[in-house]
Amino acid sequence: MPVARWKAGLLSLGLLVLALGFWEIGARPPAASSEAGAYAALVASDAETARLPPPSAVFRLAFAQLSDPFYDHGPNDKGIGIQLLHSLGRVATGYGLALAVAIPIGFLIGMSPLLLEVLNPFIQLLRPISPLAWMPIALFVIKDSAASAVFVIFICSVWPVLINTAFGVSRVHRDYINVAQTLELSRVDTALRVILPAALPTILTGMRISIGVSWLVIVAAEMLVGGTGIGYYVWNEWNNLDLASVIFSILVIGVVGLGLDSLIAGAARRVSYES
Amino acid sequence: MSYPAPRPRGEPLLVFEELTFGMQKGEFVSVIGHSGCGKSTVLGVIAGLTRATSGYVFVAGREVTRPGLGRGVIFQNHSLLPWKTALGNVEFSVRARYPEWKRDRVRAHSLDYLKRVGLEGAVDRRPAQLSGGMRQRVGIARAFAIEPQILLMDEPFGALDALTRGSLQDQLVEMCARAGQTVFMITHDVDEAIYLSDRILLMTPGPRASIAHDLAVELPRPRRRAELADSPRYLELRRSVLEFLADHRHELAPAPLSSPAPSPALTERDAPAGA
Repeated sequence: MPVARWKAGLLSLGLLVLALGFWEIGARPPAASSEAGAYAALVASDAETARLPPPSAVFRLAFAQLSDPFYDHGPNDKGIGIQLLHSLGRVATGYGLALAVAIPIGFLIGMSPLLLEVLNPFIQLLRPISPLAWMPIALFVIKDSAASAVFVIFICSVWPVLINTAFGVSRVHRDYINVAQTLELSRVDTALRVILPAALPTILTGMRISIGVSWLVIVAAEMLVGGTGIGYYVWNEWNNLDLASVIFSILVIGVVGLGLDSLIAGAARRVSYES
Repeated sequence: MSYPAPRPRGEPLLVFEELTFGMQKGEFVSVIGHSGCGKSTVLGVIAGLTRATSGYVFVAGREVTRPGLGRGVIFQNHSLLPWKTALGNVEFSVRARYPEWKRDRVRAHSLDYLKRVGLEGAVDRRPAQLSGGMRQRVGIARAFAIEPQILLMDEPFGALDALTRGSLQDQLVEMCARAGQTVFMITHDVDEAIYLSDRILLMTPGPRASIAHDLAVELPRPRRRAELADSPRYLELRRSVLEFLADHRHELAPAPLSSPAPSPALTERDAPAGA
């Protein structure tokens, strides 16, 4: 029996309020005990800064930031909106390149068992390499930190799309190919009008995984190379010991990641079919 | 159309051997035999989807070496493209057959054939939203819409209930009569074979199957089921076929894998090469 959506929504909200409540209470400093004395009063301030800021502080900051997201007060102080745009731009470039490379090659691999055998060792070897491990080589060869970040996104998000495309294409039902053959379709037509639509849901699954990977990677990469971007912003705020900012920005990262995923999921729904 | 001696196919297993028959234009020929005797393989060879190890297939005086628009196929499981609607599926075939036609003409032609199979209310539904009978009807509409020289059907009504089967058979007969369509059909159903066909080929069980008998169905058209039930010729034919199937049940044990001795193909009638 499907759960009524409003019921689930209400419970989620309740859970959130509960969690925030615990956080708020936990973040309060302990009441100064009467027998503590002057010394305790001195060290109490340390205890306070060592705590996580309460949700109320984060909300206040969030409100301030979001009401003017595009301010620019110099290289180390830009609004959250500008940072996000930088990051999203890099993701778009890296992810776009990954799609442009992975889908055609995945297609060819899916159609040719020989090609699969030939390329498989390389794919399996390169796939598990962490994005941060790629950074030094990228920086050394490419020499430009922004371009290196884009390259790292590319090299990490190419694998899920490549593998899923190859898988999807290779699993296209023989029946559909037979139909294409009895209709005397050219190889190109068969590939574009029969095999591609048949494999598209699987390809989009790969794309959905990859967008998650891309977003993950860009934050990490920007922490490393700095400059602009949401990852850099998080790291910078950490260096400023502004924890409320850090918490706020990681929540923003989560929300944007969710948004990107929803975008691809929406596309996946549109190309899906029941067989 | 002549069809001399397609011989065995596959390395260790001789599916059929010295299988020869011919068909006249406009004839409706059924093949009956036990499961696994190679009927679908024969159909695959005629369609050009598989190749016989030796022997030839000629349709309208030209050799068949690959699938094509001249040989329309109705598959056992409808093989409709699941991401297209019923109309989309038929239009897809029509466009392949008549690439020079404009979109409106393709659409009108496709709708016409869908109407003839009684599906005008369901043209915008995808196969997953159609019943089994409706899917097969789309398959029939699709095959007729390309106006092939010969229609090849592999147990098209096997998966359907008796009522749907009856109504689809009637629609098929009507469409064949209207188009003067040459048809080659595989079936398990004796009554269906007699009701629909001009000739019935009886295949021995495999391996090393061949055509044991070629029965002429001399029942006048149009045929009505109610009248047939009383017709002596019908009952005679029915008994012959059932006896043949019963007699040959014992030959289902696999033959030894020595070099084949040709077994004679008995025909009650010479098969003239037709146009």
